[in-house]
Parts: sequence; C-alpha cells; structure tokens
Amino acid sequence: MPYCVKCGVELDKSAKKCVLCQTEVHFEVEKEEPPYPREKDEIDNINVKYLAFFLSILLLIPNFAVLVINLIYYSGIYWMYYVFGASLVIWMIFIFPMVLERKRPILHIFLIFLSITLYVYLISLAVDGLRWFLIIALPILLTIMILMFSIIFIRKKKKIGRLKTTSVSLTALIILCLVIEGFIDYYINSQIVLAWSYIVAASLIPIIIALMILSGNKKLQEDLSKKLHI
Amino acid sequence: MLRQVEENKTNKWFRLDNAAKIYPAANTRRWSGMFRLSISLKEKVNPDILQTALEKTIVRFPSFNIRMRRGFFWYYFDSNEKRKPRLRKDVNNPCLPIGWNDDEGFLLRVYYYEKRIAIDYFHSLTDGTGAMVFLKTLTAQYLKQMGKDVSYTDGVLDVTQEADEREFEDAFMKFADSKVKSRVKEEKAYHIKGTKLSHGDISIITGVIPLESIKELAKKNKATITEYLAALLLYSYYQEKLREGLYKKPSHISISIPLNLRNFFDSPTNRNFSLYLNPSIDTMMGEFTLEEIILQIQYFMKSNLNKKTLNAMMTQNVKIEKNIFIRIAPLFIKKLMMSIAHKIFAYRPITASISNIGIVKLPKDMEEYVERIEFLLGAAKNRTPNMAVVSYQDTLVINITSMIEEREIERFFFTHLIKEGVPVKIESNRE
Repeated sequence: MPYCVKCGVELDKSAKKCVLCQTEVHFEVEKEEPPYPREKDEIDNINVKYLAFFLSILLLIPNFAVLVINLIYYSGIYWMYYVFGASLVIWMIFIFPMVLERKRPILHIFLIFLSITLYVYLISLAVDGLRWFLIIALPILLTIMILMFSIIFIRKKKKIGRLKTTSVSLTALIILCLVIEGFIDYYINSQIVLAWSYIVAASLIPIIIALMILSGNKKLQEDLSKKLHI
Repeated sequence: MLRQVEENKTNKWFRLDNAAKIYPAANTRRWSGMFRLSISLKEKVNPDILQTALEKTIVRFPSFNIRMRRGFFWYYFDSNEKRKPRLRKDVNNPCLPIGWNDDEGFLLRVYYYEKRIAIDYFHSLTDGTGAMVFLKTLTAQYLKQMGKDVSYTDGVLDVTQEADEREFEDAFMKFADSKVKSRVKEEKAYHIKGTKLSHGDISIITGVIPLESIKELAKKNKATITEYLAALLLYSYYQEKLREGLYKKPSHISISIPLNLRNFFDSPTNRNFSLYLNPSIDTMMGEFTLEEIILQIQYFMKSNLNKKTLNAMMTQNVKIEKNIFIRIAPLFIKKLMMSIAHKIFAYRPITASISNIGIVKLPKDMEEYVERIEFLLGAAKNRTPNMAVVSYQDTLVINITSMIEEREIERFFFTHLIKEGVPVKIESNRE
C-alpha cells in the first residue's frame, strides 16, 4: 500500500503523486484501474472568437450602409467618418477583449486611446480641421496618455502609497493644464502666454509639498489622524 | 392527491415541488444543480444487463420517468414513458450540466465503470434520500437479473409493483402549514478565491475512512459525525481566512447543512423534501478553535432542529411560490428573475456545504455483493469545495468536489483527520 510521506494519507495503488500535496510516490505503481476513467465528456461552449467575428460583421453593416448613402447623397461633408470612428472605438472597447487569450488591461487601454485619437482625426478630416487636430487634439490626447501610463508605471514599480499617488496625480494635473493652455494659446494667437494654468499650479503645488512631507512622516500622520478623526 | 398528479388516462404530469423550482431557473450551459450516487459491486458490471434493469426500474418510478417542459407560467415534468434512458460509460468529469433535450430528455444519467454503477441526478428530480431509493432498486434489479436473490426491504422496491401515489407527493405543500413565516437573517459569507479549472472539468478528492474511528473521534468531541465533519470543514476554510485576515469583511464563515425532513414529517416521498440550516462563525469576534466551532454548530443545530422551526422555514418558502403575483408572471419573466436571484443570493450566505446521507442500509442478502457506496455533489456554482458524506457497513466515504486548481481545503481537512489518528485513504480523478 503506498502512503504519502508528507500527508500521511494512504493513496490509491494507481496514483503516481499524492493528490493533496503533489509529493511523488516512491513506490512501484501497480497496473490497476484508476478510480475514474481518463476520458472526459465535453460541454458545449460558445466559441468566443466566433462570436467576436460575428459581432464585428454586424458592426460593419451600418458602416457599409452609411458609406453608400454618403457617397450617393454627398452634400459637401463626409459625415460617414463620424460613424466609422465611433464604430472603431466601440469595437476596441467591447469586441477586442473577446479576441484576447487572457486579460491585458494596459494594452487594452492603450488601444482604446489609439482608436479615440483616430476617431478625432477622422472628425478633423470630415470638417477640414487638420490644423486644429495637429495643434490641439493630438498633443492633448498624447499628454493624457503619457501622464496616465507614467502614474500607473510609478505606482506599480515604486509601490508608492495613497498619499504619494495623490501628489503624483496632482503633478500630472498641473502638467496637463500647462499643455492645454499652451497649445490653445498657440492655436489662437500663434504665441504662448500662459496665465490660468499658473493659478492652477500655484494652488496645487503647496498641497503637493504638504502631501510629500506628510507621506514621509509617520508620526505627523498619526498626530493628524488623532486630532482630525471624525 | 390530485394536486400532485394530474392524471388523464395516458399522460401523467407533475408540478415541480418547492425545492425543485429554483434549479431549472438557475440552469445554464455551464452549470446545473447535480449530484451523484454510486454503488461499487464486487464484480465487474455487465452493461447489457444493467441497461435492461434500468429500463425496467425507471418505469417503477413515475416521478423519475419524466422530462422537463416549459409551461406558460411554470416548468413542469411531463411523462417520458415513450423513451428509454441510455446507459453510458463513466467519465472523468461527472455531474456535467444537463440540457432539457440531452439523454432523451431524462433528468438523470446512469453510468458504469469497472465495478461501479453511478447515477448523476438533476436536483429538481429528487434529493439524496429519493435518489438512494432509485439507485438501490436499480442495483437490486440488476443483481436479480444476474441470478442473485435480493429481498424487498430497506428501501429496495419491487419493480413489478405499481408505484404508490405517496411516493411522489409534494411533501412541502402537504406539511407547510405554520402560522409563522420566518427565517433568520443571514450575513454575507466569506468565499475563498481560486484558479478556475477549464470548463467542464471537476476536481474530486475522495477520502475513505473506517467508520468506527471517525465515530470515536466525534464522540471524543461530544458531537455527531455530521457536526464534527461540518466543524472541521468550517475550520479548514477558517485557515484560509486566517491567512487573508480575520478582521476583514465579509467575516462570516458559514456551512450549509441539508436536513432530511422525512425525519421530522412522515412522508415516503421520493421527491425533494429537505431544507438547509446554515450555522456560522463570525471571525470579527476573534480567533476560533475547532472545539469552539463544534459548540457553535451544535447550539445552532439544537435551537433550530425541531418540527416547529422547520415548518416555519418551509412555510416561508412555500409562501413565495403561492404568491399570486409570482404565479401569474409568465415563465420567461420568472426564469429571468429567478436566475438573477440565484446568482446574487444563492451563495451569499454560505461559504460551503456539507451533505451527509448517513448510514445506508441494504437488504442482508444484497450486502454481500456491494463493496462501497459513494455520494458526491456537483461543484458549486461559485466553484469552491463542497463535501458529501455517506457511510455503508464499516466505511465512511467523503467526497470533496470543486472547480478550482487549489487543494488547500482538502489537504488541511484530511491531514487534520490523520493527525487525530484517523486513517484516510485518498482517491481522486485528478493527477
């Protein structure tokens, strides 16, 4: 009779390993029928990839219809681009995850951003706004994406706490405001004179400094929570 | 009796009993409420003879010889007399989900493997007690056809006899008459996390234990076998909770224990007639020892295990079914509401369940052909380990089923028994 040296349980003669702790059995395995046969019965699953393909086709139908209608009744604007872009974003958000073997949230968010950028580009094509796209939309979208991934990256790699994450996010907010104002100024006046984003920065910087000091001082944190507890 | 069997000369149909109603609503392609009973003989099973024995036996049980149908307001069981159940070779992954048109429409599947006759039941059909009567009768019929002598006692029925109407009565309807309709409020229970097995797979870990030694261990702890095993299962989950943090919500660890109502209300029904009690501990109160858990479970069981409380619980369930607004809702609305309710509430108050059929007695002349009896629950919809227990002669068999990769609960449970001096033999369908 084989026993597991680690668990102390008796094992089936056909067992090669202890099923509880995976310790191998050092005992000659006898040729005996196992307690259950090897053959499995299948259950019918929906093929998710097939479903994704099917939904994609479904999504293509209105796009195709819009293409035809827009080309026949052309009234000076290619409004079909709106539908194309929106479909692309919908596809990226809902159908793309079905195609993936395992969940990949960062890749997914990145691709959603990319599709949104493309959507905005298509809108700018439809309304002849390439300058507007290049100077306002693209830089702002890029900045948001870069800042967001920086925060995720810092949080993951440095394993920072809630206080530090908040101060990093506020710093990102300041940068974003500067970028937005800078590019809007350039678009309108062709020169950069920053104004309101300085106010944002001025009011946020003290908070950021306070948070940084607080996050490094355990005793101060305790004192504050003692005095201010609700 | 007309309420239970609506009969015109050729066609019998049944309403689903109170406990049966939730299972078709909760049924999905990936999960059905299933359980399995099996008998291992001392010789290899002859499939041809078992097939004819099955065809004769199913006719004796009108409430098993049925298929699921959709009515306008409720599901119902329609007679399936024109078809015959087909014997199957056993598989590695029993208790697979059931579809209404699979297996000629029957809601049970009979398997054979080496010396074993196994039946997977859909829970709407019956509970453990009724299922055991069917399995015993089928095995006895098989043995008879093999030329053995088996007498009709201890729950073995004569397949040539007509069924008594009381065997398929809806006992809930009959006995639920309490003026009080209440059930204790139950807290949200702690659930363990785990790595999913691939779809359709099930993990079965079996512990074979000498009945005498576990009896002694339970006695030493001043508990019954069910109480002791329930406490130990809870204690195994408690170890996981200890690792994750005792003072994190949800902090209730609760074990669901089905009760055979036939012990309290006199009914010979072979359909569902059981209820659940969910004793629990609250880890927010601090650390627990196994002894404390045993006491906690015992007190809970003692204060609830009486005819009056059980009747009140039963009445509460029946009241919902009798509500006129629920009754007049079309089936598709009911199905939608019930499947959502099942998803949200079914596993909310329970961490795991343990079902003990108790000691199975066979006719004296049948005992010499039967080696072992086993009972296992299909994995819970929330995938975490569940336990089923049955004893026969001097052996107690515990089956723990789950749909997760990890085996921590099982390992702690069985090695604890070893430490207490109870020898355990482990078998499994896994590597």
